[in-house]
Formats: sequence, structure tokens, C-alpha cells
Amino acid sequence: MKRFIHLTYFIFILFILNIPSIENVDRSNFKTCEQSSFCRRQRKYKPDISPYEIDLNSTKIIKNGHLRFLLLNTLKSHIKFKLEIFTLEHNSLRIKINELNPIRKRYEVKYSLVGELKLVNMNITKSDEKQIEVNFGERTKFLLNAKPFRLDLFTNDIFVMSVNSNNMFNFEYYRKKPESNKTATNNNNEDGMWEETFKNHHDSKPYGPSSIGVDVNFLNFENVYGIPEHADAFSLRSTHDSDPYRLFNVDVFEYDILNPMALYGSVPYMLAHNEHTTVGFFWLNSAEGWIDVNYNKLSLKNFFSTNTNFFATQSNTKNNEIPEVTTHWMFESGIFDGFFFMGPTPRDIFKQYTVITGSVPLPPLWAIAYHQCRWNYIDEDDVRNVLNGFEHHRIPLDVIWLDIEHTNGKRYFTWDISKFPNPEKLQDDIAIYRRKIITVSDPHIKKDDGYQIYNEAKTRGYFVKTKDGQDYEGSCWPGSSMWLEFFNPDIFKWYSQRYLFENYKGTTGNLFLWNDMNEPSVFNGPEITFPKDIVHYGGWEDREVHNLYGMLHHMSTFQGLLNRSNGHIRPFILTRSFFAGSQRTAAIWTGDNSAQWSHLKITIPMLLSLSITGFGFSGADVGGFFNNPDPKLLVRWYQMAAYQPFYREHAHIDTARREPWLFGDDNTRLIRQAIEQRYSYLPYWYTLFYKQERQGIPPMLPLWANFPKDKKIFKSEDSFMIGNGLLVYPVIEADINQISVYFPGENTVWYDIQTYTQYNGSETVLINVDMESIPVYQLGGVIIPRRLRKRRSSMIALHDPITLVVALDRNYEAKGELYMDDGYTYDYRRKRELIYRRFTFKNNELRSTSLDTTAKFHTDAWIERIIILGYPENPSRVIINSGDKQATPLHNYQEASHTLIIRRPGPSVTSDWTLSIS
Amino acid sequence: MMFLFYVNLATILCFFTSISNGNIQQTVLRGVQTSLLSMYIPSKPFTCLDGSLTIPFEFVNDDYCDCQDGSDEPGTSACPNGQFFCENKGYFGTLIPSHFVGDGVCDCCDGSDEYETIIVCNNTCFELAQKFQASRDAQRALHAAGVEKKKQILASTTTNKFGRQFSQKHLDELEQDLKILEKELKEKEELKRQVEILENAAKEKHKKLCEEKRTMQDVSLRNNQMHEMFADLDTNGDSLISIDELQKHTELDTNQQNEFTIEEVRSILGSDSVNLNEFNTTIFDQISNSYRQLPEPTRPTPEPTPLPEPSIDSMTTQSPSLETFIDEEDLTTHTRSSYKYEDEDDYEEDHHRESKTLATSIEHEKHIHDSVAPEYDDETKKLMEIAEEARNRYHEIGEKFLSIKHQIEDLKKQSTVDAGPHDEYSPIIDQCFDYEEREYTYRICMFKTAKQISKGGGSEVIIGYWDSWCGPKDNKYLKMKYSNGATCWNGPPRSLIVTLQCGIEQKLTDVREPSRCEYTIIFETPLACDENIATTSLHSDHVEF
Repeated sequence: MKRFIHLTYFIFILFILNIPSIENVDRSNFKTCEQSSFCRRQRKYKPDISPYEIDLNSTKIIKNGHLRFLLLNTLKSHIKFKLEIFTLEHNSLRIKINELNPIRKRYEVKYSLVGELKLVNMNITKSDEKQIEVNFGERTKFLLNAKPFRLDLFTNDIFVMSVNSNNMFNFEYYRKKPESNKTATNNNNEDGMWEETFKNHHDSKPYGPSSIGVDVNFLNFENVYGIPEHADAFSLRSTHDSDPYRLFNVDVFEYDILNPMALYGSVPYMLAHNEHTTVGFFWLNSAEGWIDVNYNKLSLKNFFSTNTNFFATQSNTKNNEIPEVTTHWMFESGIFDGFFFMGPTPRDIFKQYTVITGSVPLPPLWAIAYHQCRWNYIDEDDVRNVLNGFEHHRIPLDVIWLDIEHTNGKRYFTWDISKFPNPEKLQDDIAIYRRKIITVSDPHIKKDDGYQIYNEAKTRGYFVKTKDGQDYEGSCWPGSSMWLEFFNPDIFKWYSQRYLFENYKGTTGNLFLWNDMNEPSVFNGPEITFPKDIVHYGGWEDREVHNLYGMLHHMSTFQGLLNRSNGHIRPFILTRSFFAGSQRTAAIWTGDNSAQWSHLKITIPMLLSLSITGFGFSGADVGGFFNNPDPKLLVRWYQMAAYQPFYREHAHIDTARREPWLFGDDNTRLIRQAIEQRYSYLPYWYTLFYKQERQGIPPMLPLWANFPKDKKIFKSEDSFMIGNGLLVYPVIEADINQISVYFPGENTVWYDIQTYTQYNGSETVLINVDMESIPVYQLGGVIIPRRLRKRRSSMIALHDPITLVVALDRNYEAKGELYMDDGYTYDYRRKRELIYRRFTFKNNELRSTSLDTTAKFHTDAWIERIIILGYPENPSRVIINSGDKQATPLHNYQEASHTLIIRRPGPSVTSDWTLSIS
Repeated sequence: MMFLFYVNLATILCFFTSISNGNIQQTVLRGVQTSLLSMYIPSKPFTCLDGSLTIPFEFVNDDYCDCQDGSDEPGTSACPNGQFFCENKGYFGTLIPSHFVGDGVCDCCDGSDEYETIIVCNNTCFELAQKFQASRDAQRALHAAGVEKKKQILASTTTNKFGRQFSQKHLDELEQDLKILEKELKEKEELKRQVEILENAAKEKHKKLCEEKRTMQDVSLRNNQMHEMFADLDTNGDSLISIDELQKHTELDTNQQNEFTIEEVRSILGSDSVNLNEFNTTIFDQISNSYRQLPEPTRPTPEPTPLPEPSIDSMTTQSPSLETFIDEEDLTTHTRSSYKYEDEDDYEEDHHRESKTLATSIEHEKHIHDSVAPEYDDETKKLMEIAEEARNRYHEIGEKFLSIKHQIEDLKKQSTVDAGPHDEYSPIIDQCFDYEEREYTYRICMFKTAKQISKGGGSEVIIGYWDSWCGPKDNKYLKMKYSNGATCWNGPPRSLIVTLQCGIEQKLTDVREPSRCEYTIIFETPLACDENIATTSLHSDHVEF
């Protein structure tokens, strides 16, 4: 980015190009399905009868839980495929289809899976020449139809998913390139099979066509979700009149919202939910992908009759029609490696997916607090001034970030010493407040003989190669650059070692990392990324592994940070590009959004889509990266993001400064309050992140995850939940003084977290809002731990007292958890230094018990206050017992709001105690 | 914080009210500021300082927040909004937020805020006091010396307020001259108008004759050139011009300070490649002026010649949507035009109109660059000469008129500049100061303009025109604002805040750009030195990070 561009230049450019305005994405930089030849071929493939058939005589039981069949294409009988079925623990099924004897080995992704998958027994209940029926898991089964090939899946005997029921399974086997002669030249490249040109970028396609298409259909469902990353609705929209949703990691400059274009990361994982069941389908494939979504009514008359009984229990079988979501998945290469998660509940689904790909590990406490970033904090003085601003304005802060300009000419692992002459001192000073610093490190390496990293990588041959074996050179921030070949384990390791203190000079244990531009972004590459015929380690083309590059980059960084502390300190890395499995080692953000109300709004569906596909630690740039937010938008953004997992302000270098105190006293106060609310709920957030590590449940959830039967909320994307306790309805419109809030769940009761006003479930209420308002409601039945004391940073507050907010349900009961540990090391795993408490309110008694009695953690933290919401009357006495101690803490009852506040009950958070109210 | 009212307080207090945790080993009056000690009397119930609640005195500093204003917990971190008083013996007593208490950071120089934590805070009060004393002495000395210097400067200057009033006489004379010139200008204009009528009629006639012929020549010439250029550019012969192909033509780089980057090339091409047709319609006309054939590949590339800056006038006629930028550009080259007087801008308007007419013809010439200029017949030539003569006269008088008018404007402006509460900055009105940095020289002409001058040669960029004093309410004259400079690419108009500081020499220091195109700089000058500081003591401030 040029710092000073002359006015005359600007005028001249405008003059010659006649650009009306430079605002949104240049869509012509990215392929449409029509322009991506395999998508074009696959999308139009729809025979009346599928030519694929299973030879049931070939059935082979490899072991219990693993079957193998031959799959044939009756039109090309010489090509044989093998189809393997694995029944996995937790109601999951894996189907792999590959060529039996491919002339070139087909790529299988290994990085996404965590360890060996555990098989469970399958019970073949029926087997004849037409089909085979197998029970597995808990009341789940599949039915494999042989002619044509088709797979039907059932949860609790209800038909939920079907593969190839629309005959779109289409496997392009590897073939020899036809001999070219003059007359046949055109035919040889029929439909872009053997080469393809996009905007002057030629894709040589030396191995020809290799794509796979398949239809996966969700029966009796009206909503499907997931397949991030798209700036689009949460409940996926029909692609009938648009391109399919695209999965291809690219750097999209100033992306548009509400369209299926690809963005920075890809997770080929889709969920479907209805009031009975939640299911999921994950196709592990790292090539470019396209997914069509269509909403249909399926006529049962046309469906084969034996299945009709599976719908009998459904209410909407009138006219013999049921809803169906048909999806058509197309990938450019690789194999079919499909995982079917059978649910049946949302929580089961979260578990099932994260058992396969891993869950977000518990982040350090400070990482879920507030982050201040900008492209760029210019120098040490600037950083110190910003930190002083937070001190002066009494705004809590945990992390300050340094973007690319802190380096010496975009040479990562270096500092611009004219601006940062003493980075260690800076980090040490920041550490006094237990704050952290994060620097950016991108995967492109400046082509410069004077740059040690470049030289070493060049000499050792560590750069990504072109199809001709030359080092691939492209352009990015530093100008001419090369990219590291992370697929090679030696290079992966070497790169990770660059993060060791001895190699990354000027860093201390208080510095963590940010991996940006890792799609990778190549300014002059096709679609601003690598050419597809680049050859990676092992001979794989970028075509086959493209969507993994960013993940390998941040995995290597993670390894480096882990090794830096000998495995003692939890790393933190933020990545822009990601793939299924990235959640194990990095947090992600939604990239370069914009300071517009529409972008504020889209944040909710984008983060929900990420949450349910494994990325529970994600966020969007507060305020919007591009352009200048007006103060109202900025305040609203701070208010919303205070309730989203990753909370970071970030801004483009061309924007005006926007530290929280630059918009007048009122706005400073509003922003401070929003950030303070975040900090007050950190004990709850941290507990939720621990649960996520253990159970795969993301902290930020769609409403239906907690109220799966409430049909009104299946498309909700103006609201979300934090855990099972907080319902958030952020104000996302510019000029409104009322919002409509629907309280989900039958017989539920909700409490405004500020006023304690009660609302009933299944009701829609108009709520008045002003600039102070952050409409958030606590669910009756849930106990939430908070810290109502204020501190400068989260780590400083680590041992501060806790306030319990007990929101009673209609039976005057509630429960909740509190997790605590040292906030930054792995001692919670290695030495089990943690506390995990369960609080239960029942029969006028609040009990604290341990959920993990083998664990212990020393803390001075104590319970300073208990707030009981929805308590019916003023009690005469409150007694607390802990071991042999007894006390009668004072209490105060607020008649109007039915709130009972118990003053200074005083037990340690680590102890068992019982509070009795009479 | 919660508003609490406890029933049956007296009886309940007999019980053990808490399982003992938290910090109740209080030193009763910890953190209370000296001036408020009378409000905290251990034998009496305590009333929150905002009067909202009365609580037993035992609740003061018992590590639980009862008062909304935090006044019951000055010595603990229980209240989010309380204040802790650091006694800081030997230094100044200071108030810090009570949530700094026990947070592991030594905030009081006597360490009293960390009484409950294990960290050891060194008592730095003595050191601080010494430092403070030294710094105060240094300030005093600086301001004393500065004030002396200031007096000298003020004594030797003639353009103080008094002097500026004196120039009223000069101003009157100038205004008299201006009136005479204005009259003369009108006469010349009338004369010019008359001869131009004749001239235009003759030219119009001639023009019609030539037009058809010219158009034909024009089109075919352009077409030939376009094809030639396309073929030349398309080095790989694929009938497309790609970024690499165009990038070799560094002479097309409008910003010669940087290398000719791919983005820049793309911005010319508008995409990654163009075919002949696209080239014809969108590219050719823009690059034809600066385009050069590449030398033989074996020879080293010659220094690219920078593209001549596009003429402002020619741009004026291009697109109305550019107007805002044109204005900025106008300002950078004709700074005077920002000082327009409503009743005296006839000439300027005419002048403007004039240049527009002129621009059309330049634009026209550009299109016919190589074709033979139309030859006028003798009669027309004669008329044109006469008209030209009349125009020259008109411009001559016009220039004089403008020059006097601007002198008047400057004088008026100078006399209206707010040069400080005691007019102490009048000596530097219009004085220019430079600050040298790696890439740029920053030049501020006080109460006038601020510029950024590239050291690599070439352009000056206006980063702001004198706007106003913009210090904080209680010290308005601390900062100067220069605003409305040249607009940034994708950004705001440039602007600059100058912070004035007492110094012995007059100099600029520490230029910064905290936000894109928003600059700050410090100006040291004796004129900012303060007699009061030179003679009295400074007030202390809480020392921060």
C-alpha cells in the first residue's frame, strides 16, 4: 500500500478509467461456475437413471464396522470403483469412494482428522441382491441400494438423508490424454477437461478431468446450514437462480454480502435441522468445491414405496408430500470421503463432528477478552499512547496488535527498528498489566537476498514450485515474493522453528501470532491465489490441496509457539484462511469486512455458520475493516461483539483513528460499558470454552441449538445465544427505537440482564432501545458466574471474587457451572490444576458441588454476591453452610423485580457449600 | 452497582455474616483522601458520599460494594468506580481508581495500593519528587530563558497588532488602485469582446470548412496508431495485452517514485488483459501520449520519462464528477483562489471562463496531434492578431488587478489573524519553518499553509491551510489546525495539528501521521513560553505508563 499517492495520480487514474467509485468487490476476479469447467460439467450432469451400480457379490467385510464393495459405471464398465463403509462411534458413518486402480493416485486429506477413527459394530439386518440394510450406533441405520447405487440413512427409524437419490453421482476417473491431432484438437479439450484459461491465466491441467459430483438430500428438512465461509444467510439460500455456494480459499478485496462467492476459508460440512432431528454431512475434500442447494417438495408417490412408512410419524405428509433439501456437491479432484452424522440432537451433532475433526482447545483467558488492533500502530510511542488511552479512559484491554508495518519492509520475523528499537522492553512493559502483544506473520517471503529467511529457504529449496519445478514467484505486500511449502514436513518444522525466541529476535513469551494472507493471497495470481498447476510436496497439485494451505501455515505456527514454551503455554494464533480442522490450532476472523450496517448484520449469520461447523472461536473486525464507521455504528458493533467469541477492533490503514475515546464522552462511555460487560461475563465465557474443548459445543449458538423444537427460530439470524444461558438480540439497525424480541421455548422465562424484567417464552415482545441498550436475556433455569468487579485486564482479574446470577425457571430451579484455571498454561491438562463446579438451585437451596473431584486449583477467589432472579418473596433468613462453618449473610429483596441479593456469602469458589433460604 | 437496603440490620449484625473470605482485615480508613476523612467516622454509620445509602461503619472497606458511588470501598477493589488515595509521602498524594488496588501493578509511588498482593512495590516517591523537582526547575529555566527570547522577538518585530493596524493606510491606497484598475479592466474587456466577435465569426466559417476533412484524417490516423501500438504491445502475439506486457512500459507509470506495480498496471488495463477492441475503446487514448516503443531487449532500459502532469485546465472540461478534486488541485497551484471576495471576483470568473475556452482548444489539438493544423486565410489571421492583442491587454491589466487584490487580501487576512491572546504569535505570521525527515521536508508557513515536499524531487503536497486554534477548551492556543489539504487517495483531505511548545529556538520536531493523511507536528518556539511558569511552580499530574 503506497503511503502517499499524489492527487494528480488519483485524478489521472479516475480520468482514464472513468471509475465511478471504488467500493465493492471486483467480481470479475473470481470464477463463476460457468467459468470453472468442472463445475460447468458437473452442474449440468443429471441423467434420468444413475449408471452407477454396486456389485453386491463383491461385498467384503474387512472387519466389523468396515465393509467394502465394488462400484461400477455401467456406461464405462472398464472403470471400477471401490466403495467403503465405516460405522463410527457416536452415530457416525463414513463412506469412501475411490477409483479401484487409478492411473494417478487420488489425493486424500489427512490433516483434518484427529487420530484413528473408532469403528463400532454394524449389524447387517437385511441383505439380498437388491440392497443391504445395516443397523449401527443408537437407533441409526443405513440402506444401501445396489442398482442404481443409492444410500439411505435413518435416525430413530426416520428417513433423514439420501445419497444419489437424484442420480447426480458422477466420478471423473483419471484418463490418458487423448492423442492430439489437428482435427480433434477442439474435442480433446471438450469442456475444459485438459486446459482452462481464466483472465489470461492458463491452467495446464496435465492430469485432465478428475472431478466428483454427488447429490446428498435431506428428507423432511426445510433448513440447511454451514459450509462456510460465505457472507450469506445462516439458513442457506436456494442456489436455483444463482451460482452454487463455492468453497475455494481466496482473498476477496472488499467482499460483498449476501452471495455465494467463496471467501478466505472452507469447511465442506453442512447441517440440517428440523424439530425432530439434527443431522450433518461432511465431505472431506480440499479441492475447489461448489454446492448447489435447492428446496423441494418430495412427492411420496414417486418415491419407492417401501420407505413411506418412515414418514408416517411426520405431521406434514398431507398430499403425500414432504419437504426436502437437495444439495449437489462438486469437487475438482480428490476422492469421495463423506461423513454422515446422524444426530439426533444439535448437541450430538456438535460432538459428532468435533470427534472427527477436533474441537477448539481452551484458549488462554486473555484471548477471549478485548483486543485492540489497527493497520498499523506505527511505533513504540504510538503503542504506548494507545495503551495509556485505555488506562486514562478506564477501558479494560488485554491485547494490542501490530500489523505488517511493524516489520522491516514486510520481512516477517523482523522489526522495523526505526519504529520498534526495543520490542522486548515494550513487551515487558505491557506484561506488567498482564497484557499481550500480537504480531502478524504472513506466509509470503520477500524475494530479497539480504533477508535471511529468504536466503535460507531459497538455498534449501523450501519454496512452492511451479509445474516446471521452478520456485513460484508472485507478488504480495513486499513485492516479489515466494511461498513456503508447508506440505513438506521438514519445511513445516523449519518454519515452526522460526518462532523460537532465538530465531524470532525481539520476541518474548508475551508475544503471540497472527497469520494473515494465507489463502494464500497472491496479488498477480489467478483469482488472487496460486495457479492450480503448482506442484506441492509429494507431487500433489495445488488443485488437489488448495484449501489446506492456510491451515498448514497456522498449524506450523502453532507448533512453533508450543515448542517455544516446551509445551507449557497455550499458544494463540489468529488465522484468516482455514479448513476443517483449523479450529484445533487457531482462532479465525471473518476477514476484511466493511464499516457498514449491512456488514454488522451479516456478522451474526457468518459467525453462527462458523460456530456450528467447529469454529467456536471466531469474530469479525469491530467497526468494519474498510472505511470509517460513524460513531453509532461503531458503538453498536462494540455492543454486539461484546457477546461474540473473538472480540477485536481492527481498521484499515486508510481509515481515521478509531480508538474508543475518539468519538466524544458519551460514545466513550458506551463503548466502555460494552467492553466492561464482556469482562463481567468472562467467567461464563471461559466455562463455555472449556465445555467446547470437552464436548464440542461452541459458545455462540443458533437459538435452535438450545430450543430444537421451536420452529419459529430455525431461520433466526438477528439473534444468537451464548451457551444455554444468554439470549442476545443486538441492535443492528441504524435508527430504531424498538426491536422485536422473540423469546424461544415453551414455558420458559427470561430475565433482562440489566433490569431483571421477566419475559415469557414463546412470546414476541417489542423492546424499547436507545444507544445504551444491549438487549441480552438470561434464561430462567441457568446460573451464570460473573465478575462484577472491574480490572484493567482479564488476567489481573483471575482471582477476583465471583457473583452468581441464579435465574429461576418456573419450578424455581436452576443450574450452572463454573470452570477456572490459571488462564494460560496446560497445567489444567497435565496437572489437572483446575476447578469445575456445578451450582444447583432446587427446593430453596443453592448447592455448589465439584464436577471434577480429582482436580484441584489454588485460588483466593470467593463468592461475593448471589443474585437470585425470579424469587417469589422476601425470605426471612439465609444461611450458608460450608464444611463446619456456618454464616447468615445479609440479603436484600427487591419486590418489584422479584430479585433476591445475598450480600457477601463468602465461600471460596473451590469449596462445597449449601445456601438455604427460609 | 446495586442499591441495597438491608432490613433488620442491627439484629442480623449480631450473627457471623460471612464465611470468611475476602479482605476484611481492613485498615479502616485505607484509601480515604485526607479531605474526606471527616466523612468516615468509625463510631457512626456511614452515609455514601452521594447520600444514596447509610450503612453500618463495619461495611466500609469490607471488600463488598454497597454504595453506588463506590465511596464505601476506597481501600479495596470491590467497587468499579471508587477512588483510592495514595498518600505518597514525600511526593504528591494522588487518587487512583480503586480497581487498581491489589491488581499487581504498583500505581502509588509508596506502593500503598498493593498492600494485599505478594508483589513488592519499591517506594519511588523520593525519586519521583526529585525528578519532579528537577523537571520543574528545568521547565522554569526553559520558560525563563524562552520568555527573554520572546521579549526580544516581540520587540524587534514590526508586524504586531499595532503594526498591523498601521498598515490600514497602505490598504486604503491599494484599494484605491484596485478601483482604478477595475475600471480599466472593464474597458479592456469590452474592447476584447468586440474584436472577438469578429474573430469568432471568421474562425467559425473557416472551421466549418476544415471540419469534415479533419475528422476523416483524425479517425484513420488514430486507427493506424492504435493498431500499431496494439501489435507492438502484444509481444506474445496472443491478441491480448496482458499485465506483463504492459508492465514493461514503465513510461506509463504515473507515479514514478514507486516501481510500476502490477496493481498500477491493472488499474490502467482495468482487468488482467484486454483485447483489441477493449484496448481501442478504453486504453489507447490514455496511454498514447506517454507511450514509447520498447528498446531492443538486449539493451538496458533507459530511464523512464515521467508523464507530464495532466493539465488542470484540460481536466476541467472532462467530467463534472471530478469537480471536487479539481478544486483541490486548483488550491495547490493557485492558492489565492481560496481568498475570493464575492464582489470582486469578476475578473477571476472571466479568467476561469477564459481558461475553459482555452482548454477546449488544447484538448482539440491533442486529438489532431500529428495532422496538419488548419491554415487560416489572411483576413482571419489579421482579425485573430487584433483579438490576440486585445486579449493580451486585458490579461495584462487582469494580472495587475489580481496582484493588487491579493495584496489586499493578505493584508486583511494578516490583520484579522488571531495571533494569540496577547498577539504574541504575530512575529511568525507568514514565516516558514522546515522539518527534515527521511523522505520528506515538511514546511509550515505559519497561519498560511503546511506542505510536504518530497526529497526525491518533484512534487509538493499541501497538507493543510491555516484553519484555527484548536487546543483544549482551557488552552485553545496550545494547538494550531491546518486543514483541507490535498485529498488522499481513498482517504480524507490532508490535515495537520501543530502543538506549540516552549523552546529556545524556533523549530519543528516530531512529525507523525497517526491516521492516514492526518499529520501532527510539534513547534518549539520562545513565543510559547509562559511568564507564569517561569516564576511559579507547576501542578502535578498522575504519572502514567
